[in-house]
Amino acid sequence: MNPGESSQAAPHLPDGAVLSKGTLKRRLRGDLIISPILDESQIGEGSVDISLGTRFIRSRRSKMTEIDFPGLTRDDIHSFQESVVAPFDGQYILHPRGFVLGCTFEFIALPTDICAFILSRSSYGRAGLLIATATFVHPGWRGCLTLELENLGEIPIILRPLSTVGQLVLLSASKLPEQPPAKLIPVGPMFTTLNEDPRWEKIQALCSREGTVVAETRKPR
Amino acid sequence: MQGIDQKTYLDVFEQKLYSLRKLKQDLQRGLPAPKPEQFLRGLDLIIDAVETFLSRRVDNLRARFAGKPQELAEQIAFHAKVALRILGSLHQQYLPLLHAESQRNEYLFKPSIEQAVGLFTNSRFELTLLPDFLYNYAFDGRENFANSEVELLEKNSDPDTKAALAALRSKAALTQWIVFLHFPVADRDSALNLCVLAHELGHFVDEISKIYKSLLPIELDKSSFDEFVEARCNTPAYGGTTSKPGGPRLTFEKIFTRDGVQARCYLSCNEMLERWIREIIADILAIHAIGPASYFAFNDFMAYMGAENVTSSSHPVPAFRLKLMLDELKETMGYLGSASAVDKVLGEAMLRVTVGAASVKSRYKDEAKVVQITIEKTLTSLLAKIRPVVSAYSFNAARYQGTVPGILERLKRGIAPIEVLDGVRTKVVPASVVGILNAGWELYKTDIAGFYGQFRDDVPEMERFASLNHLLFKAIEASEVKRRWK
Repeated sequence: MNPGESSQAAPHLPDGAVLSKGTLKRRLRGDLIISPILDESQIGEGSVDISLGTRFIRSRRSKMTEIDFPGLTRDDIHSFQESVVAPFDGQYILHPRGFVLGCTFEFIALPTDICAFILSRSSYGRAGLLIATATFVHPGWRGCLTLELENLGEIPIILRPLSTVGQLVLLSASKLPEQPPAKLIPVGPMFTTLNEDPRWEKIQALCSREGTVVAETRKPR
Repeated sequence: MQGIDQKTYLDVFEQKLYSLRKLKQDLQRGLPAPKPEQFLRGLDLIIDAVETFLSRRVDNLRARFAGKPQELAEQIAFHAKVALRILGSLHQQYLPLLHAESQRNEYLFKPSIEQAVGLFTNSRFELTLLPDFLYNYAFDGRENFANSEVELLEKNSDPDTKAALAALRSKAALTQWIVFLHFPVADRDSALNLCVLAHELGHFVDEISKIYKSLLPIELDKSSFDEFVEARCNTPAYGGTTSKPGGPRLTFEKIFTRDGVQARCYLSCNEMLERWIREIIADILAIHAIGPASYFAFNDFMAYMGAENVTSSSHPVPAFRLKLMLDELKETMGYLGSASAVDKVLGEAMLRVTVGAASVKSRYKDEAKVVQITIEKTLTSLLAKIRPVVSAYSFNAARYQGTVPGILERLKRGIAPIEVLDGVRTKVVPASVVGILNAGWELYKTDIAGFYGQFRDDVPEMERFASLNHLLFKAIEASEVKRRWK
């Protein structure tokens, strides 16, 4: 059977149970995709090591006076962030207090009965590199995961694509009735989409009823 | 003499030398890693050599023409002009390449291209991909490019200067091919369209293997050539004007004699023949190297260009080339013999292309007619000589069926097809780059609606299409890493 072709008949696990190494290996030959697995040792008890990808989104100086998400357009976002690529034999230098969005090198596709959490590698944390991320990955999710990287130390840190930056802890979940439709299938880090959050409108409506305007569209001057 | 004094030439030279050196350094700083070391060293060599040449020559001339100010001024002006011409070529030909390279974006497929070219040559080469606002794909290969510029200076040098220039050349030690592949910047995010690069790489393989030299010369078709010469002999010269009303009609034959006209016709036909043959070689190499993907990409490229079905001095008529590719897929590579989805698409294309190629036959004229007939008559033997170069790597129908379906299955479900099970389905292996590209084209040509169907309704169609290309790029990059991982 081709990897990812169909779900394997698997013993039922309670929701939230961490998948064992044996289960992970079996599911990776079926409908669970974490690819490429460069070393078998990446697969551990309940988790799979993940590596840094080659694409980044970095911040740049902008004429924007502040980031206020309601009313922000895609052009606004691109005015203070830009995509860059560091080839897999290259590097990205993250300066002190620098912030960059990275991504996992592995392409991940979770079946509809598995969810995951990303944990950053503590060794990096001890060197001052914070790898924070939206840690929960929904069942049925496809793509490369965005990583938020920040250098909290005092000297530049060289980020090398393909280095191990964290682990994906995989858990069983109640099976979704069907694969959810995709908005995007990212293969690199994602620009923020917070500006599209429908809740802004509700907040605005609420505030205007109260006679207050909290969210204005601010354009770069 | 242009009325410009030697001092002006020398001052201008100094200024331009400084500004070009600075410009080169600025551009170099802006280059992403890995930098094209050989090319940069070549540029340094040219700049250093021009400076050495002129300063030494001026010293030498001043000693030689002391007391002869007029001759000295003329000699200095001449040598300064030679040096300025080289700087001009640096400015116009080479620095734009450096500038274009600093704009490069996502060359996730470059390692795969280098790997592929490495199959055909043991020569070391430095490959650079150049996005271009001209909507064109082009190959620009330079073997020891800087040395040829320096040799031009050496020709105009005294023995001491020659020795100094030779020492610079030797120090720079430029031995590699510098290969530039130009592609339209608009295609930079399209793995599907960039398959046209296979044709340009075909030119590179031809250049280093000298395939075209083994095919040429070819005897021109006698009948059409005689017809062409006859027509040209009778062609009115100078737009048909005569020396005086009622006087003899001035034709090419009257000006150049029949032998002269024939010699010119022979030359122009052979020049065109060589260019066309080289295009055919690149087409055949590309179709074998990446299979139907090469045909599909070329077909789309022609459509975007709005290419008319006519000949040009550099390329055979598009329909002839498309038919040649399809014939090769069918006759030699085993395609179009099954009911598979890709064979169905290729079969439909074959019908259209056959009509297109036939319709143009009556429109061949002059050199194009001679060259086209010559190629058609010798095509079988030409192809027999080209195929062995690439046959070991030919992406034939059997290879297609062995690799593409597994990749396609993943791609259809929105999964980057980085790894697949091997032929005996026991081991996970990296997907082949050629398989990935062909799976992309098959999906695009046969079931793109199915692919689009997995997205939310509010996702615009072109973003769904962009997703397909992103998945292909990701798969190409990551499968290459997996192949190289030890």
